[in-house]
Amino acid sequence: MGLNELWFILIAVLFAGFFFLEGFDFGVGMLMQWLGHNDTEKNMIIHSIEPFWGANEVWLLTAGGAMFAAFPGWYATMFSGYYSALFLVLAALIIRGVAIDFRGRVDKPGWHKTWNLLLGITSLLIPFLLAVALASLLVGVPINAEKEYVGNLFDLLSPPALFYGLDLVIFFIYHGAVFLTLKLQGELLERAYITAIRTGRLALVTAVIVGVVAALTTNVFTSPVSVALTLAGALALLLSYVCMRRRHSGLAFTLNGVSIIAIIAALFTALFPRVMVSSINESFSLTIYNISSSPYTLKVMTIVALTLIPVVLLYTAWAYYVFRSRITVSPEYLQQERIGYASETSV
Amino acid sequence: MLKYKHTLILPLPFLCNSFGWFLTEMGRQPFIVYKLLTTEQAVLPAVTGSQVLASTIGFTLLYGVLAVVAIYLGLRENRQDSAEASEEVSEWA
Repeated sequence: MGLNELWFILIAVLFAGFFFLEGFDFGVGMLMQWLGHNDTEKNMIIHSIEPFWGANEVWLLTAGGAMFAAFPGWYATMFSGYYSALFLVLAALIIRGVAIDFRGRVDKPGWHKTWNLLLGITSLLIPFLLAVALASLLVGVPINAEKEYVGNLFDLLSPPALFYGLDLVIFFIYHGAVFLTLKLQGELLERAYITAIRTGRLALVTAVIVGVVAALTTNVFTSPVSVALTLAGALALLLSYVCMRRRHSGLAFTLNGVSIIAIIAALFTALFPRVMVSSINESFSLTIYNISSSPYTLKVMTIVALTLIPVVLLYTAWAYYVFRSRITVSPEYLQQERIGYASETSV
Repeated sequence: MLKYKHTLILPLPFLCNSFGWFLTEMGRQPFIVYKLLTTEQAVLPAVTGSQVLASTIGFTLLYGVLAVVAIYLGLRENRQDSAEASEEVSEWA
């Protein structure tokens, strides 16, 4: 296998890792308003992702960075072409991060409401746009012979793309709910279980709908490998829902991960060896051969990546181990005057 | 605000950092990669001038609002900490 193929796979892995890890962060962000009925509960819900959300987001940056370094032509066409959409994603990422940090700092209801609302909206917007962007690689966008994107924002947001966006949003809500059943206690946990089961049903329905849309708009059902992967992804989601009904949260969470990896693998397998499909003319599509870096660059990148990625995985696992227990509320927290000041408490 | 004169020092590191970036970015023009690629050569036709203008305005507004909020929070925390500190001192006395 050549280095071009290797980096194609690594970028797919990075995207899959991002969706698995940050997916539940987005889901939790979207669920916070509905699941938490008062400030304390909302704080508990956000605290479940607080040690992880920053590091998880970095997987997206790494995927983009790997794209930039290994396939600069892909980065150029995609990130310049999708400029408006990516600007929205970037603004939303900034607002979301700030919302998580600022929401507890002032003890006024208007302050809490504003930042909670912004957190919810951005947690919905980012996965929606990212799903649209990623799906568009396979569905095809107007790319001309000079490898330039010649469409606009609305070419990107075509009706099939909206289905992909919606599907990922709903799947992340389910993924977040499953995560919360691992991290909460008491009455909030009961509500989380019910939410997980309900959103799991919704996720299954949208998965089927998107499967049909994918069959109509992409070639994902043409090669046997990608068909197998897509079916594996759907099966994993179904099993995850079954596990959730029996309250096996850990297994459900793992199966969600399997589902994401399978679907991303299916997407990239169907894409291979192209990276962006041109809807104008198939021969204008970007492939991993016509837009990659030099072999020397790829070699250096591979050595650095293979040395450092194990380190990253180790400390990520360590962080999840350290923060493995369920969220509790200490009595001191409830007695405090500045009850909304999130970063000061032991919650 | 001038009651706490020491707070005027707080923006200085950010300003210093920002001015450094201004120097880097403006000083590098007309190149985007010094002596190898000009900014004009690097622009792709896919990104129109109006998109760049819109995003510039967007980021300026976004960071402007965040700056105001951050300064408000910083001053607020400073006031609270000073109030707590003077409470503690009056307790000892």
